[in-house]
Amino acid sequence: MRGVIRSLKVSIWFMLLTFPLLCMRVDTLADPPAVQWRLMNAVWIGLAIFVLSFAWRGMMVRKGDMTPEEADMVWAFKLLERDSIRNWAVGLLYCALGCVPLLVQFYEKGKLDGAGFAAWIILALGLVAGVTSIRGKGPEAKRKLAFVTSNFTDRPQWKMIAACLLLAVLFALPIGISGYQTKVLTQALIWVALGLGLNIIVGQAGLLVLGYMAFYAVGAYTYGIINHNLPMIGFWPLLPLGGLLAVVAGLALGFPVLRLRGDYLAIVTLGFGEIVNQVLLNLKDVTGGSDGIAGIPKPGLFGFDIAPQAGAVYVYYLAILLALVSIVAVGRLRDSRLGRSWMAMREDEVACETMGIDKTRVKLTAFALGACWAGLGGVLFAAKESFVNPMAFSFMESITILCVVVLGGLGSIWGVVLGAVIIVALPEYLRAFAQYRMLLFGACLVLMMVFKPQGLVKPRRKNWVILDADLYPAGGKKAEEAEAVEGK
Amino acid sequence: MDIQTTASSAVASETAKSQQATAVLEVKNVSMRFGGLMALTDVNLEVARGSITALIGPNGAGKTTLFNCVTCIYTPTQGSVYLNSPSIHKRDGRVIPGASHNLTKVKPYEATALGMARTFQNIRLFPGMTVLENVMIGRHCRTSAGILGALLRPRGVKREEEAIVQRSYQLLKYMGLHELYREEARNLAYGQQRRLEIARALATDPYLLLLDEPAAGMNPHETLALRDLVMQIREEFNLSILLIEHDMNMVMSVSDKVYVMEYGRVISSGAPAEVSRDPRVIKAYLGEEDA
Repeated sequence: MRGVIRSLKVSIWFMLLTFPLLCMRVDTLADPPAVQWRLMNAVWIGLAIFVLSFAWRGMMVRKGDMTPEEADMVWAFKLLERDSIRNWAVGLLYCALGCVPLLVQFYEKGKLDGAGFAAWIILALGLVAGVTSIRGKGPEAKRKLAFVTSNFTDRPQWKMIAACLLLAVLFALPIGISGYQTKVLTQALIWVALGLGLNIIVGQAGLLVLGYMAFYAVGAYTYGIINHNLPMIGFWPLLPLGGLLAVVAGLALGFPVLRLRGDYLAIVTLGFGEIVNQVLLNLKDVTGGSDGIAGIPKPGLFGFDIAPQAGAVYVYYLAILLALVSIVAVGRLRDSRLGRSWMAMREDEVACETMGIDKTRVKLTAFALGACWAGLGGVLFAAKESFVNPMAFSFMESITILCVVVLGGLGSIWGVVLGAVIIVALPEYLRAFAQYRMLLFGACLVLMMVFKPQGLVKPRRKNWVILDADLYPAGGKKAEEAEAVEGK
Repeated sequence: MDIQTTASSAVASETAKSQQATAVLEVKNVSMRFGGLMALTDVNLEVARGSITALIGPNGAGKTTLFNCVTCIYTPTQGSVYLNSPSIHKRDGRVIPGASHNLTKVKPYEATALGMARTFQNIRLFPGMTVLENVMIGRHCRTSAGILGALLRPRGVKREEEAIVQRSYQLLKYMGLHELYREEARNLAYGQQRRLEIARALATDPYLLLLDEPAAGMNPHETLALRDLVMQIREEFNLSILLIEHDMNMVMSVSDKVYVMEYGRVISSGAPAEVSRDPRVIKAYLGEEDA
């Protein structure tokens, strides 16, 4: 409490000190000259100093000039003693440092150009350092020994660095390529999210769905219709709403098909996709029929206006973010109790029920979560195109997204990522072959299915590694590891 | 009972006695009709607490149908099934009294949560999942992590996952399958798959275990080992067991009570020795003497 009071005093002192300089401004152009009061500035300064004074006292303690009790910071040091929290703090600090040059560039020039590349590299390195410390593998982190570990715990550092550099390149790409190519890449990234969502339903839960684009349409039209009628509601509130409505649509489809499986399920979902498409075409008053809805605005950025050119780049960044979140989230779902029950349901429904899994619930969560990703992707799609019409959600598109999942490898996250990039980018780059384009594309798919029917990437999941001394013959490397664990 | 015992201990032993007396599973007048076929007619059956009860009969007698009625996969056309849970003694001394559950409107997964687990006649493992994962599925109804837990992975969820792994691994070790824990279940030998199915059932913390022809397809040596295993898990996990079996040696040596079914009816029941002398049973198994 003493520390808080001290910080308050300091911040009030600073507010008073800087008040004449930063909070008063004489407007000489007005007649007669008047004083402008900028009281918000004082508040910001007060807040910043309040936070900084805590950091200051923390540094004093670290230097040894103060005891934690004197600084009234015992709680903070207690928190920092916990490994996970310290790692998070260090990691976030690194990431923030990486972001600084970038933000400076973004605000100064309003757009990103060649010089921004260096900033991205710094960000990437910051991310590497940050992520490794968050994951507890920074130089300070101690290796935690336990009864169990998994095949995912020992991810080599070079993979992390490669991933971060790839990310940096992805971020920096719009600098070097045309607006059109940025759009293609954005589309590919949205499809990554879509493919991962469908992968939950088809790959993990084993439910064949042929009308997936219906959920995508729900997301896109949520943004289109609501924004068209109530222009003050923008992208950000509608993004979760689009996801939520898609979840509702997923549940609406899920309930009637609970008893179905295999081919029958596929046919019903195909019908569902077609119904949604027909509604979009024929409910002209609301959806604009085949003309669709035009003039959908780009997303905002904390109230800043973004130029149309930069807007496309901004949507591209959002698509990267969506794809990243999807990759992490879908991976975590797969390796969870829920993901395990999806897999069990896929393997044997009767056995899974007698083992205490509520089949209804597990199926519905698969539908709902899979649909959620389509809804989010749909909202972003509408923002990217500024225009939605039923053409984008046809049966053909549903089949294409299924192709992404099957081509990449059912159940494989990185396979879906690769599949989405190939399926979206390939037809675009085959444009050189003009009217033979779709023919070549089809040929590629056929060849793929003939020579690698299980998909491009084999699905992986978390496998537990048990460090039990009984398991390994004495003297082996594994045995030593296990003994070290037993000793703890 | 000794008159000198104090009142409280008398009450305690009284409840213990009534516990002993009550059946874990009561099947009352159950009939099951599939269209024109009466698969079960008026079946009555009880499994006493802590006992091993066997259900035998010729092929097509309705044994597995009865199993499916008990585990709520089928809803009986008539009659009802009651599952009586034992009272649970918590570590802090509290006692949660046992209760009787009517299983007529219960879903299979709810029955498992109540404390009943089963294995299948034709093994139904999850073939593409590892041995460890198969057992981990059994822990599903005793754990609780949901969508948010999966996405955010807070400490509690991580701990829960590790506890699931540990418990599952212990069960595998108990069954002697621990060296195979990373193997896909489909790659296991037949006898190992049978044992894995039992391990998976035990992972749901049951007090009633239903085994559907556990010795089917096993050689005499393996059957003997299985018999020991069944006796052993009954002691170790405090189980009552209902068993369908064709292997008469196993049935006669392992069970406390035997029910014999034919054409959907129970034609005889009692201790193994009695049943094996019952002329109706001999007739059902060997046919009628011509003389």
